[in-house]
Amino acid sequence: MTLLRPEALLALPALVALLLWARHRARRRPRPETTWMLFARALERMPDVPTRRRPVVRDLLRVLPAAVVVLALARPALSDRTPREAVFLVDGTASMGTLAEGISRRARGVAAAKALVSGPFRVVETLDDLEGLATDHARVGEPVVVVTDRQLDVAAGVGFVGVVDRVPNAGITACGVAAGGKLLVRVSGVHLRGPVTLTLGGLEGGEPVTIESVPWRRVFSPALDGVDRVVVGVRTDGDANPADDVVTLTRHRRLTIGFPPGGHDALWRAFHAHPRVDVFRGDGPCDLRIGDGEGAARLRVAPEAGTSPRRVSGPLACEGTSLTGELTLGALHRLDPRDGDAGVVVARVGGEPLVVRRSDGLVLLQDPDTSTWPNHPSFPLLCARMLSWLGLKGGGALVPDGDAVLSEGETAGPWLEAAVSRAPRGADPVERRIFLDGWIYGLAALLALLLLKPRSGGG
Amino acid sequence: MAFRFDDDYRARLLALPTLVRRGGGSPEGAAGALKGGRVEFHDHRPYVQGDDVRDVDWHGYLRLDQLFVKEYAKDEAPEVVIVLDRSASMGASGSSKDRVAREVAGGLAYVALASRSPVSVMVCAEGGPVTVGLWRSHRKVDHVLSMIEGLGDPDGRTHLAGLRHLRPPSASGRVAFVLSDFLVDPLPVEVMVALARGSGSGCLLHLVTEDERHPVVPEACTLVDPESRGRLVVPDGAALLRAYAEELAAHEEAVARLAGAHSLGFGRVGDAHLFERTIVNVLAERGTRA
Repeated sequence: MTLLRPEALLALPALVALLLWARHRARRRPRPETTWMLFARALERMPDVPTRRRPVVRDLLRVLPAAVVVLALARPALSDRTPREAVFLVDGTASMGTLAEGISRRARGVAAAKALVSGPFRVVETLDDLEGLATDHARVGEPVVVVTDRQLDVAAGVGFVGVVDRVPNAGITACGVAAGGKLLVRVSGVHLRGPVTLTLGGLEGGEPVTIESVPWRRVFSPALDGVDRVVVGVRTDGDANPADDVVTLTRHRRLTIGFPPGGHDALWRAFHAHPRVDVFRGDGPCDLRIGDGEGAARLRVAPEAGTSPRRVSGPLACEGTSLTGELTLGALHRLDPRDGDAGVVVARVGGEPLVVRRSDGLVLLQDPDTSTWPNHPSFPLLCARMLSWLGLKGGGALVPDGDAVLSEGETAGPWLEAAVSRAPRGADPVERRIFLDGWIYGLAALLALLLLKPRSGGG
Repeated sequence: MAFRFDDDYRARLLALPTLVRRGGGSPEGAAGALKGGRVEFHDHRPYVQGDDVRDVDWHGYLRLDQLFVKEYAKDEAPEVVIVLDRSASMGASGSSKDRVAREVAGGLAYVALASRSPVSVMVCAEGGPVTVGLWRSHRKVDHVLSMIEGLGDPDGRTHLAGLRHLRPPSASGRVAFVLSDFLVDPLPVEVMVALARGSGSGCLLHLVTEDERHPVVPEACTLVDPESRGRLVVPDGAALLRAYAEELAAHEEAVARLAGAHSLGFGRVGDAHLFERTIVNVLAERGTRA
């Protein structure tokens, strides 16, 4: 139980003193009584003259309602503010698997992050934008620690653990397709020097192409004409982490999403802003159909008619990991199993199903056009995730011409000497409270009726 | 603010003698006997100090070796003496208790004057009983009422004991109505003797208001005696009230018993009923006894 205004309790001693003083004064105030003589006689013959202790106890009991009112003024509330679990955003890139003395960078980083926070935590390993995700978590009050071997400029208040080691490692730090269709590769390494061999596999010709002695830390551009998929690998002696030595590139293909002639404006805006998606309204073949119609896959929005939407609040979790922090949805429909196809829940809000994957596509149990959810950062992230849930992304990375798969330094940490660790500031979380002051006012009234009713008098 | 009888009270006074007669009472009846004359023998009673030796039945003394005095039926209306306790316990001016005392005193005086009895009003206040007026004519009713209106606020201790020096009644007799709460310890026995002396008789009118019967006392307070200024710290009002009710009943019983022991009339006066009903009941009861 928490008190929103604990300073109100300071009034309690003063109130007790004031009431006791008032009672004492009232007791001492002379009260003329014409039949005083009879009262004096009655007092003399009372068999059990009460001791002074009883009035004191009674006075204290009479102070009790006022004390309860003071307690109510302190705004007590039942709160779920158990220590809010911290979120460890762990860099999911391959370089985090680099072993040093048998321990991976990932494990060392998580151990360092544990030392920074007290209380529960959950580990979210992600390839998404770490800075953006960390900012989202911090904005909703969750303490967040970024664990990476890269040098990132995270927002103020976000915890940070930078993992460094002296393990020799080489890997592909940048890979993409140039505007002319030429393959671009850059290989970087730390604590490692020596010749690097580049291998291009998965080509239509069948045989891999090996290129010896490619330059370190410079973009290397082997020819890649008209190839839709290529597996790029590097090899060097003494490399401790082979996980960042292979990158698979798949030539990007734009997706088409068909919308009905009207409606679904929020989804329209979200997919329209996606760089690899084309949207249109009306009939026609498409990779994803919103609602009913022709399409390779289907996304239905809050279709469960007859269910009563309800308010749900909680973190948004996708496939068991947290996507963003706290989210409140005003009208979440219930899951209605249809034809025995209950589907698989792939996203939840506060533990309640939000997105269900069925055999014929996805079901979104909340109509974003009826809420402010599209204004939340989780909405475009979830829309992007839905494409992969529908299997539209394919294997490997979708690489449009001119895009790099990995940014500079992503696989080989630039720090060589010092690790960086910073605890999360963790803004006060938005907590759920059940205010008790209304009940306490009622209790005070009840006590007042029971304890303050006149117990002596004529009639 | 000075006390004033309102017009309604004065109007109700006009009907009071009729109500008393219908009730079978009269001021004289309240004395317990129609006595006080010198011609027609009425009864014997034991001799008490102060009796006129001319009334001693010497023949009876020779036969019984005890002194008895002879009482005669009255031949003229006896004097009505209204004794009004004005001690502080009779309530502050304007209080219900003070109003009832004045109304009953005024009503008794009105009925007495209507019955052609002379009326004198005595006030028992600080310094002892004082006769504040004597009226013999019904035409002086307004004077009596004005005098009662003008009485000062009740104050000081109860001085009923001074009534033991009450002058002997005249030949026509005397009926004394003592209107008091009798909150004096001990009850003045010698006063009762003085009231019954000679051809006199009396009636004790015990005034207890409803507020006094059912007082409201906080659980813890300090009670102050308006007469003695004594203080009484009450630790438990509820328990005290139970004992108080018993004390009040005992006190009323003691006053009634005292009146009966001296052949005096007794009546309860309060503010639960109209003053006419109180007066009619008191006079009727005593008249029946007579």
